[in-house]
Amino acid sequence: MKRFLRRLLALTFVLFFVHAGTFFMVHSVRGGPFDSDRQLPPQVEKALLAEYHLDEPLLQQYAHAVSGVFHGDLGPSLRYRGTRVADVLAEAIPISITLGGGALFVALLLGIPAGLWAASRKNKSPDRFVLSVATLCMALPNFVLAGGLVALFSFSWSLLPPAGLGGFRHWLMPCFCLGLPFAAQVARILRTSALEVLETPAVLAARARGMDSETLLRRHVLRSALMPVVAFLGPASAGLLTGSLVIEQVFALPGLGAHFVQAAMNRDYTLALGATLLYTAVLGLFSLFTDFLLARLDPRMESLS
Amino acid sequence: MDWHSAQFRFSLTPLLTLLLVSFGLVPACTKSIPPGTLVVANNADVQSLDPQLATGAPEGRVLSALFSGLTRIDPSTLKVLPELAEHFSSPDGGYSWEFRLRPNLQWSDGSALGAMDVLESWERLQSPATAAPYRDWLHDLTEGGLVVEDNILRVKFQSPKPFFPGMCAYHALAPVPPGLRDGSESAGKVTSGPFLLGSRRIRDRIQLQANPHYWNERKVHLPGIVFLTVESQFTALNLFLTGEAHFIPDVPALAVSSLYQREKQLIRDKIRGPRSRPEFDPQPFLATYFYRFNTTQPPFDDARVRRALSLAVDRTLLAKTLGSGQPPAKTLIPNSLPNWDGPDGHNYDPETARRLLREAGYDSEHPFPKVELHYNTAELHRDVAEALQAQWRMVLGIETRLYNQEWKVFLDAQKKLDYQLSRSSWIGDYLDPTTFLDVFRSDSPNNRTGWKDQRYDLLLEKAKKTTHQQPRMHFLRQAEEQLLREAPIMPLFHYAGRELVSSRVQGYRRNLLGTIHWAGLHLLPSTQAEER
Repeated sequence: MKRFLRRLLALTFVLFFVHAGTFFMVHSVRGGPFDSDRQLPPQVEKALLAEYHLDEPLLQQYAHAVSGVFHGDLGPSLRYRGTRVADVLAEAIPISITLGGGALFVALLLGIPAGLWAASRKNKSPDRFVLSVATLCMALPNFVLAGGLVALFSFSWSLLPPAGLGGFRHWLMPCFCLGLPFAAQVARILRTSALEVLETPAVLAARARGMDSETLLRRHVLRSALMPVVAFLGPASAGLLTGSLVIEQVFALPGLGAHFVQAAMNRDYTLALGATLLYTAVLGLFSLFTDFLLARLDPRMESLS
Repeated sequence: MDWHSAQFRFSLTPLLTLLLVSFGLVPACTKSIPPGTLVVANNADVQSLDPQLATGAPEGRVLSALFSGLTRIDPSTLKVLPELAEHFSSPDGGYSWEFRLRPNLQWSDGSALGAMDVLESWERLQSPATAAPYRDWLHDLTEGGLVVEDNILRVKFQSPKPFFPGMCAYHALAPVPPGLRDGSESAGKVTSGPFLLGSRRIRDRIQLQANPHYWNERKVHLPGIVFLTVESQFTALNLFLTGEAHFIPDVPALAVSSLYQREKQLIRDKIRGPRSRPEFDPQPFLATYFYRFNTTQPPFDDARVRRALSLAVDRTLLAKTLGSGQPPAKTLIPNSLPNWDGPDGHNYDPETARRLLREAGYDSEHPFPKVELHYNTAELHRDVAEALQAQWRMVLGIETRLYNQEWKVFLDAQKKLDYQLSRSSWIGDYLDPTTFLDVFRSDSPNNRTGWKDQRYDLLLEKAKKTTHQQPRMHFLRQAEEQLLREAPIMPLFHYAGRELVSSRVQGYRRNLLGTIHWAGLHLLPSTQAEER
């Protein structure tokens, strides 16, 4: 418990530094939130800068932003005039959880069996097959995969809608595209760790006792071999949850990923800060959660850390 | 302990919970689109639903469905028609205008809408606190130039504005509801147009439904419109081709030729009659793509050099290279503007270009310095820049360095005149040459070339004070001639409206301004041919 609280405190410090770093970085980039190819009349631009305190010295603006965060207020969005950053993020979070959760499901559903299969047939054709497919899936850019799937499932077979939010069917392609590279990584990690476990004396002894290989894999190998996968899942889940800009754009999904990138492009300082804070918090909490999970899986981890 | 142990199952519980929660959220993220609803893939997300604060084409499409102006533009004839005002006239050639509002107009919440609402809205537009981008549209009202009497609004300007009723069709001049004026309610909650706001999810969709309090409610055919935010043009095209969207405002340049082919195919397969409106049919659009010269620094402080570079560009070849259906531009103002007879403009003339460069003092002994050409990161802009680079090298032997910048950095550099040559474009707001020419007045914040020309300003000032159309157009033509002679800019091509509109959409007319009369549209039920 004490360790958990200590980690939580460390995360708070991390958030503080990330906030400060992001604030000064986004403000130092050239161009402002109200620059447009249709230049605002000078008085109008002045009024706007004043409205959002952007005419104040930078340190004063920073103090303003920090006090806002302490009061749970991320401020107004500069691009979506009349909308709070918190509201913008709150609308995007359910989308990202669904997309990320679905992708995680795909990653585990495909990655774990593939990894185990490859490990149990080391250096035989199933192993080579899994490794080649996994390498291909990791190398294949998201948008290529997405384009191919849309061509097949939306145009050739008219089975799935090509983009947009809607029913369950709308989520299949985006979750699959986002999850597939992670599934490949899970398979490779699991294969490597399962091979290591297969060489341990306990497993050799079990094999010597005549245990059939399926039971062996299920009861003895998987549990130990999953440890590196769980460690990988922490940051991977955070990455999946904050979504992928490419997948969101290809499938027109209003998740966090695009906000994360476009807020900076639009010089929407407040939204960029809010999105970065949220991302950092999610990443921190997930790695905390992973450590907790690892400790449950292997009590030695707790004493080690 | 094994795989089935309680401890292990406990460890996996949070993970499984997350997965369950994620799929539990699916219904929360889902909104069904009622049948008969028009679906528009509306490009970028709308910045604001406040008609006085929004600029940009996606905003214009949504706001023109939500808010009615005093007038509207007929999409077929481009004539100015009465909308909230049943009658408008000017007794003195455009110095003053009188708008008589329809009786019994209502806001979408059922409260009364009168001339006083318009007056107070325009006062809000002018207030510095509103920070409205189109504040300047009313800057030359006379002192006390807005008066309301018996539901009649009288407007008086310091100089004649013959095109003012046309401006009143634009959302910036549409009346805004009292709650928005006093800041007590959010934008879009109460509207005056044929539709009202059903729901909005940022970066996903804006769902509109028919407004039962609209003055011409009987003539509204659509039960609702959904504007989807679809930033990728390819995704929008996919949605259209699979029948998930009925209208997309632009198509990827790469798809243009295959869309032409598709049109022919539709007629060949008898899915569409040869006389019915094509789904894809690029038409002139009131917008010009051009390059700005920084006239404050050598070598472009010399008009001869600027003109030389412009005359060395073969625009027909450029348009053909781009292959995206955009007509070449020799002038700033598109010739498709009604009642406009513009000057001849910059023709391809390599001989004169070389002579001008020699006159400016550049020859084999004094070679022209290498210049930098700025553009913002986009495929089209890169293609144009590369074509210019090649043509100048071939015709004038000039070397250029292409320099692409992220959008906001690019804008900042242009604003601070931190460039030599910079890509640009301008979309006309209303059907008058001044919508383009005013951009290059010496005091315009949109000038961004450093070019200040007294004669040009004077000609525009003369036109501004002239009530008769013929001499007014004469001054404006002279002003454009002066602009092209001095060449602070180099026009390259005019944009074409490349929207894709499903043949199920009835009542749609393509036009120069991209104006859509949403109330006049209706959606035919999907036919078997469509599904094929």
